[in-house]
Amino acid sequence: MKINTYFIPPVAYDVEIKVPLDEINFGDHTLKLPRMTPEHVLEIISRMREFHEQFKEFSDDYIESKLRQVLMKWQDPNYEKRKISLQLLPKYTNYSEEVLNNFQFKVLERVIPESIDVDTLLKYAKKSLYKFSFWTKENMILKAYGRFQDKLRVRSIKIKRGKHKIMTLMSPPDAIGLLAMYATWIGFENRSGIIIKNPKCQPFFAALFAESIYEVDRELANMIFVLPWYIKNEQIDNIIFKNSDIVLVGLENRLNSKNDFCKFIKKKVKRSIWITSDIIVSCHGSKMGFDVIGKEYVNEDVAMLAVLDGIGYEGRMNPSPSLGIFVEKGGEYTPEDFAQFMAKQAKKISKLIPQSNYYRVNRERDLANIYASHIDKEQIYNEPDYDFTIIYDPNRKIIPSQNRIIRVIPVSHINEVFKLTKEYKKYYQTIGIAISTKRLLNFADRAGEEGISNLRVVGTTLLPRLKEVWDGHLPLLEFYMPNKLHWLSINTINVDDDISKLIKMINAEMTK
Amino acid sequence: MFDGELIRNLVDYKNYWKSNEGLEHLRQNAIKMAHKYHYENNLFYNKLCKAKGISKDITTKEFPKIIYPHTVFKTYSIEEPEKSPEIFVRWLRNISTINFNFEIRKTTSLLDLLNQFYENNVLLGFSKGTSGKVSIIPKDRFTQIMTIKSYVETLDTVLGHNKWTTYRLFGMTHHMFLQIAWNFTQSFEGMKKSDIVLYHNTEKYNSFPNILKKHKSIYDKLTYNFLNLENINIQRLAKRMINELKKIDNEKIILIGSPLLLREIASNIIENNIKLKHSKDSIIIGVNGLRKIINLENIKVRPLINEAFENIPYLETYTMAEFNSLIIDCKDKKHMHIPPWIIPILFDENNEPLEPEGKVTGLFGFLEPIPKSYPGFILTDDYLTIDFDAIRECEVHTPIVTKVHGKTYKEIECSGLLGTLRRLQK
Repeated sequence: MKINTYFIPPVAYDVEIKVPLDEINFGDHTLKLPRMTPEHVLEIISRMREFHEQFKEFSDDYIESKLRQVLMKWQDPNYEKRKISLQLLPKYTNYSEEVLNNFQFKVLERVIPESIDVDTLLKYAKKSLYKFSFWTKENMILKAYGRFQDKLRVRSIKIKRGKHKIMTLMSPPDAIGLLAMYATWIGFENRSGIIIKNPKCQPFFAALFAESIYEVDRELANMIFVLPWYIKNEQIDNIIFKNSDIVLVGLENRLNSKNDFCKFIKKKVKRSIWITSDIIVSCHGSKMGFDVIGKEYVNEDVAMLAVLDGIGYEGRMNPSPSLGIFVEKGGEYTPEDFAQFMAKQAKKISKLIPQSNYYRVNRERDLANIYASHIDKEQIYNEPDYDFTIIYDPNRKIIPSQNRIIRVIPVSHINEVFKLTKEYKKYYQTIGIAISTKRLLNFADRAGEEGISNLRVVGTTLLPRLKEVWDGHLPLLEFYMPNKLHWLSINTINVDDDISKLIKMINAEMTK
Repeated sequence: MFDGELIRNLVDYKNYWKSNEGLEHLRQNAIKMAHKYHYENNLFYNKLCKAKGISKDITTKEFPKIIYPHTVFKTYSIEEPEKSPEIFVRWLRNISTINFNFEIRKTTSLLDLLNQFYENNVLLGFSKGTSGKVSIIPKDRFTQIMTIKSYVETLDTVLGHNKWTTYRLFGMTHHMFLQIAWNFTQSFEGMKKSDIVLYHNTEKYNSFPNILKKHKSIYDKLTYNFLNLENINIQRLAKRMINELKKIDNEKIILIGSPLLLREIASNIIENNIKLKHSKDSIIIGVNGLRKIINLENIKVRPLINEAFENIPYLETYTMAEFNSLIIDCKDKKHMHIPPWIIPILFDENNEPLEPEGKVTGLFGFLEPIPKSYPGFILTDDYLTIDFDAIRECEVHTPIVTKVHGKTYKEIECSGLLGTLRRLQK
């Protein structure tokens, strides 16, 4: 099968026909790789900039309806591009088809009914400066943390969409595709054209996504340009960078890494932000999460939701509870019982969402180290024919774990988690919560002060919505806001209701 | 029961010359026997096998499944085992197949602790910990003897049967618990001429932080980082060694050292135009871990040695503390032969074992039935190209390592959380 690794906007059609193509074998498939020169890239970007004059006049309703149509296509199991993605992504990302179906494409379903109404978001942001604001329609709670003077500046912020003509996403090499979708949506809402340098591990998803926009609306497709990672050309990177108003980078804590891309970005961040300050560089990623189960929710149903959080993307996404599932003592069942419930549920779920061989072997290799350092009181729940390992650790040693090795740690009080995990504070991002609504805000306030960005109902930690805070920043508004403010969003206004609904929904799906 | 006789028959230099088919059965039997023994007697290995659904009797198809990562030997929880020997011994009991029925007393020195074990016939060999943590490999008397036998048989193959005992060993770091050094020095023990000890710095090995060069004081940091003290030490050592080498002109020597030291000696000889007249049968061996092998291309050891020592061949080795064997260039063709008592298994990017046919590149794991004190079925961090079917003039039938690569498999290149975790876990 021949697959494009690039998408050149129709407005630059005459440039596209000039770009010679190479074909490279990538596994069993042939990837069409453009041999782009810096001149080609410069020309394409200038065409996008020209078209931006028309694009910025597009109405919100128009853009949203078109993007909705695009996502509707992706929701359809028979959509050709979705089928191709599901056929290829498992090979290139090593996630099983079931993992991609249940998490990546699940997010699509949750994103569809949404859009970022920037004005409303700003209104709620302003309301959330000093106290929690409840966004009932969106089932979301929001609050800001930071210095008084920074909060004061938010009051005078004006959003000028169309101000940033080009937004570039430098995908991290292991991104599976979702990021491209998010960036496109945010960029279009901001009336910015999008350049995506697609990830190295799978250089096709962003191109397929751009093609689906083209299928829906040729005009809109004029504002998206995808080029593959494989073009290793610093001159091209420089052109892209210089011609971008915003650069989204998905590797905040990796800037000290020695690989070429990180070195390049680090150089750029220094030059562009700290010296000239004319390009907004928005760094994300390299975060970790954990789940907190309040004593009122220590039961088998919630254990099932915690398992979903633990196994999603094999524990490798930023919100994944890789630091552990913290269970409060004093409930009807003990934290150890909860671990046993999780093991029982994981048996069922792992049959429905199995691990690929790659992650299974990784888990088995990790298990060797776990058994080698095994402490007497640790309980390890593992069965050879099932894809999970649950560890109950009363010694409360925090060991970041992935590959479906899920650690359950008892706590005397939910606030104790911050003490136990303080070593990893700089990586904080998401907490999956099962804490009753009446105790939630106290806990949330503490979490916000500690630097947590998201509280999500347990079972949904890997299903982010567009409007939620992203690594402490508000989506889209972050391009206009003071950097030092830290935001916290909670993806529910009533945890109790949401947990009940979720349990019903998942039980229904599992019995299908 | 561990069948020592089977292992002795397998670890024989003559097996280098036997056809692969002829040896396959013996090798597989040895691995099945070793697996069964460790399955029944090693706590950690037993749990791991059960978790993977492997029983005590395995088939050859299951061989790739019994391989486990070398990091197991870094999983002890304390930085100063000498101060809490009971915790350390508990860990050793878990990971090893040794029955520790002797008392270990608390001490202030790591060397003293290791000596206590050694007095009870248990060698706790360690590596220098290039990844940030020292590996500790427990070896009982049988494993120690077989490690020596394995080295001797390999050197017999490379240098000629029994001929190598006529050499004078020169320059090996003499520190008994540094595993690779132990392997070499003990293998040459029979040679009375061997003990020219030039580099004996016990202080350096007296605690894990010292071995890892975790400098606590500002003075240490200053001396090591700014004054580059380690380099100065190597320069001094190189000069001392050249002086010693001059004294034994015309003798047949085996000069062993790290590539950095050898490079220093070679450049010193060239710069000062020193003429050494050692027998042309002499040999220089560079002892490396993976990272050093990769760096060899950068620091250009071989051309310098060739220039300094003219006709003396320079052989590179590939070995590690967990490995009781030696992969070394053969003298004539410079092929890095894998000893015939090892089954190498390479894994691809998707963790699938690669077929041992032709020239294959992958993550290197090996099945080595030699050790009785721990299961020798280990996955390294190293990425190798192995030629399984090369037709070569040296007529040795074992596969050869044609290239040692950097970490190029996809996990290492990934960014985001995965990369962060990997750095944290190291």
